[in-house]
Amino acid sequence: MNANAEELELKDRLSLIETMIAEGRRSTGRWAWTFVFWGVAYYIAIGWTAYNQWPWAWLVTMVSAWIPCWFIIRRQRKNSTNRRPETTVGRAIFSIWVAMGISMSLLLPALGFSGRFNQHIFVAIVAAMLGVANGASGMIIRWKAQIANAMVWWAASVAACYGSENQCTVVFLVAIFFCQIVFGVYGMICEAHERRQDASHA
Amino acid sequence: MPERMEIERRIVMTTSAEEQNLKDRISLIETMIAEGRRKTQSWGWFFVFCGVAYFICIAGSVWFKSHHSSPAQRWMIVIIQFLIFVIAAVRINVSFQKRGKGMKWPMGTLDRALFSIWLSAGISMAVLIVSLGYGGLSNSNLVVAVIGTLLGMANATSSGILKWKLQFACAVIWWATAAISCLGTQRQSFIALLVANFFCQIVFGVYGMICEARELRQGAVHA
Repeated sequence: MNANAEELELKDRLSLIETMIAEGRRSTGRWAWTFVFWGVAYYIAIGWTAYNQWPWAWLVTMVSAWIPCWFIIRRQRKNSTNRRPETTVGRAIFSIWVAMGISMSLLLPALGFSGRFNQHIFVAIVAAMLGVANGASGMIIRWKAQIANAMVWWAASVAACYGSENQCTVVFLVAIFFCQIVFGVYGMICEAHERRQDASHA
Repeated sequence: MPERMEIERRIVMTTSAEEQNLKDRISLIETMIAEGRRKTQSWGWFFVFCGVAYFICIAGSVWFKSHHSSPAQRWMIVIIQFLIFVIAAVRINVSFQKRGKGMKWPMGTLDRALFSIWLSAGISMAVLIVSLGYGGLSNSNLVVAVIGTLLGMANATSSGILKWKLQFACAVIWWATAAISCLGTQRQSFIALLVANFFCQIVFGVYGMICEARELRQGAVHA
């Protein structure tokens, strides 16, 4: 009787943990649009820099992109009908992306101000950081597509250290296309599919 | 009238059952957070170990510099040296955990989250430093800035998950080291690295070990 109760409790705990992981993956799906959004923002910044070589193009684009992104997130939260309590997986993923944002917004301007900056270093660092964030998120929610995404970023980080500036730019553009746009669209499709399934179950 | 009372009684019972269920879930999550923090503390010695390994690697890099090796070779050797240290440390830790009575090592959600973060940061650091070195883009200020930023990021993420302010303070120190390294001279960057390593690895690791020992003692008293 006692063993049965323990087994049942273990099963309950396991089921709760699995629900938390599934919830984490679903919430990543809900944030898939941000991947596409930031992918487009990166393209705008790259295009702007290539057009007139203005050194502040990246900073201005990133700050300008952050404002509408923040408004959309706020509106999304307000409109959300089924507000769920924060889970451990959710907090872990949130912490990863916030820490990455702080790290990037600290390191890149500091390197820029000190004059230790060039195209190769910039792409290598940005790709490595996006690799950390995607790799950790993918491992937490056990999502192979996101782990593959991290591997592409790490490969881009290595490739950025070799070759000419043009090759480095091409590597960055390709990585953004696959890891932000394609992955973001895939996440949105997955989310829509799950929402349809939820609706049909209801 | 009795029927209405029966319905009301059932509603009250259902509400209290739901409340109990919620309380159970919250308590489970809190236990998991506390367990995660305890796990980080039981890795306190690992922080100290890595701190000492960093010092050895830094000394190694200075020694190699005086032996005409290229920066790429130097950083490659340092990274390999550090990886050997880390693999040895992980092996020792796993065998100790397996040997300890009642200390099993299942991978909970929190453990997996913490493990994923440190693993990803480690992979990125190794990939970036070696590639920058071989690509001829590396210099000591840049390497310290990369190390500081990635360790700051990993510590900040862990602190966010464990809700541990002290670990966030370590993250802030690592980020400050990265900033000093970008803006200061080579000497200032080197001193910042040594100081950050001392506080965020050695002191923080020893603090974690003390906390763990205290909790073990308290556990023994309660048992």
